[in-house]
Amino acid sequence: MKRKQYVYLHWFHAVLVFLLLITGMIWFLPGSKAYIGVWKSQWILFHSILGILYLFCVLFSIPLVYRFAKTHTRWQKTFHICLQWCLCLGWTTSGIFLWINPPLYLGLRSNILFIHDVLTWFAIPWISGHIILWVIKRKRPRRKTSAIPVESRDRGPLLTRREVVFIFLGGVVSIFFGGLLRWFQPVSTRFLGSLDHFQKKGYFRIYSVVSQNPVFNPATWHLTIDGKIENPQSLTMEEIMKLPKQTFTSDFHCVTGWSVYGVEWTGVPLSAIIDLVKPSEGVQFVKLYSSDRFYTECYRMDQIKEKNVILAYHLDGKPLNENQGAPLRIYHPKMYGYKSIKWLERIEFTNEYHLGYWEEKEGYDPNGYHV
Amino acid sequence: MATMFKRLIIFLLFGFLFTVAYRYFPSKSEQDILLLKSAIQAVDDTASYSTSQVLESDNIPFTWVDSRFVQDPFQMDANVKVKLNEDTYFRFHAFFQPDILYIYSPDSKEWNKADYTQPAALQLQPIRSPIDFWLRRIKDVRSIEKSIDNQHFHFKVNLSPFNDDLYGVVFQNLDHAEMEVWTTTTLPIRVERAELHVHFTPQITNYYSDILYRMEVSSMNTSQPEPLPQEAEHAQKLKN
Repeated sequence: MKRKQYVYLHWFHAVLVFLLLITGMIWFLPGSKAYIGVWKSQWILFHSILGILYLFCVLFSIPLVYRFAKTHTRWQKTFHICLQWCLCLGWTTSGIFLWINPPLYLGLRSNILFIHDVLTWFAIPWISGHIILWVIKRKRPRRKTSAIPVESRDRGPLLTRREVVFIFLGGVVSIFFGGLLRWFQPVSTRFLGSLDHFQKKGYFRIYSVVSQNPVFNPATWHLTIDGKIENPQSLTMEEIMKLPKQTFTSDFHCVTGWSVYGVEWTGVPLSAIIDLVKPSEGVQFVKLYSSDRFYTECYRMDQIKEKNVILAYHLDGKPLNENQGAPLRIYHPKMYGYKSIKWLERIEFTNEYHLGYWEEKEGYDPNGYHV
Repeated sequence: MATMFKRLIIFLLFGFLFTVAYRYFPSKSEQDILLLKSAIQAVDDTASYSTSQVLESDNIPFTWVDSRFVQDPFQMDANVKVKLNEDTYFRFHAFFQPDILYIYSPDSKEWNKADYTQPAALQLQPIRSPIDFWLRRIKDVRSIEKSIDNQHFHFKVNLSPFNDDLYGVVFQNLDHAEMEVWTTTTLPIRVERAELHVHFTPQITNYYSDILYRMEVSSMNTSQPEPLPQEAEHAQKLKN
């Protein structure tokens, strides 16, 4: 085969790879799927047809390239040929799998897609480098090949051609057998751990130390904040709702053993209240009062300043109902539920420590941490 | 020496590729688990369906739940019957509306209602979403086998002992448990029948020695919940 025909073959291969990269890369562009819109399946079909054409091109060229490799014995040539064949093998096998998309092997699909993408991301800089080197080489004056001894031309300083072939073949075989061995392994705990956790959400058991829940009246209700502070406050619910708020998801644990998982809490961070009322220097404790007139709780200042400690008014996107402590309750995500006082109506900053309701009655831990 | 070093590097490269492939490729069992999981979830993705559930011990049924679901807007009703003794049964008919649950007791002819933040309503959650119980079993899979059996994928699953509860039965102190699931073979692959056989450790405190829980899913996309009767308008609100 003449040199010119090899050049044509190389260009044909380059154009096909370029088109495949362009049609495949479109999926990575932001909003690209919106542009393609209803043509999505046709686009995939076009990419797949190009892929099949590319496969036939590579298969057809194998005897020609083999003959070329025999006459061009530099290891770098062999390396490039092996690399192209490996890319072709990886792209086409993963591409065919993705095209067929067997519904029985859902997890394998994501691995195959990952391989398909990784090969693409590897090929782009490699091909770019290949083109840049080719351009630089064209501008440089050619060295006379007769000045280089035959031994140096045939054998690279690091690898022989045989070793290059061995590395590529061995690499493909290693990946194949690694995957094959895994295929026949039993279920791993790592895999089970990676699955979505279908935990029971659970539900709130309603505890109250009085027989009648306090009733929330928006016209008369207000939250009193007093004690050793610079700016005592009496806030209506409307005013509280205007303060900075935060929403997060956290589990609720009761000290008696039940839990409610994945609860969405919304409320005012206690840090915002502290900024508003400006406690006097050296204040150590915060005492909280429920409007049931019996239940109280007490926190250290450092505990109240912890992350995600809030005056909660929404639970799972809805205002607290009467049983949940409407209109306002404390929520401390690291502490048991008995510390999350319901029907909150007064916050007092003080230097005296008070035992909370259950701490006094039943000797519960005043800190109440579950983590 | 250099050649030896080069070969060592090459073999280390092979070892690395082998390890990466072994670490990140899935196993057939894991693929089967994913398929089973998606087949269970596919039931809830169906616009409407019916289930028939039975709990039995020593081949004697003691709890029956027959339910009909429509997903959008969510609506369902369920007839529940629980055997209390040889000839006494506790029965109720629950109507799950988007925001309110209505419960009718055919024995006392009483209607009650509650919203879904009410603890009693939350206790009936397993009736409202029976699929969740089966999904929770996925993380307990110890081994799984899949075969094709009369136009069904037949999964035989060995489970690790687990703790859970369903319709008043507490599953704890389990010796072992097996699950069998039959799914369609055509897309969408979804569960048609499932059985869970639980064996408790022999203990004097155990009420049951074994329990068989069966669920059949039917009337895909054709199921219609029973409409809420007019008498429900006068339902009493459940107290805490």
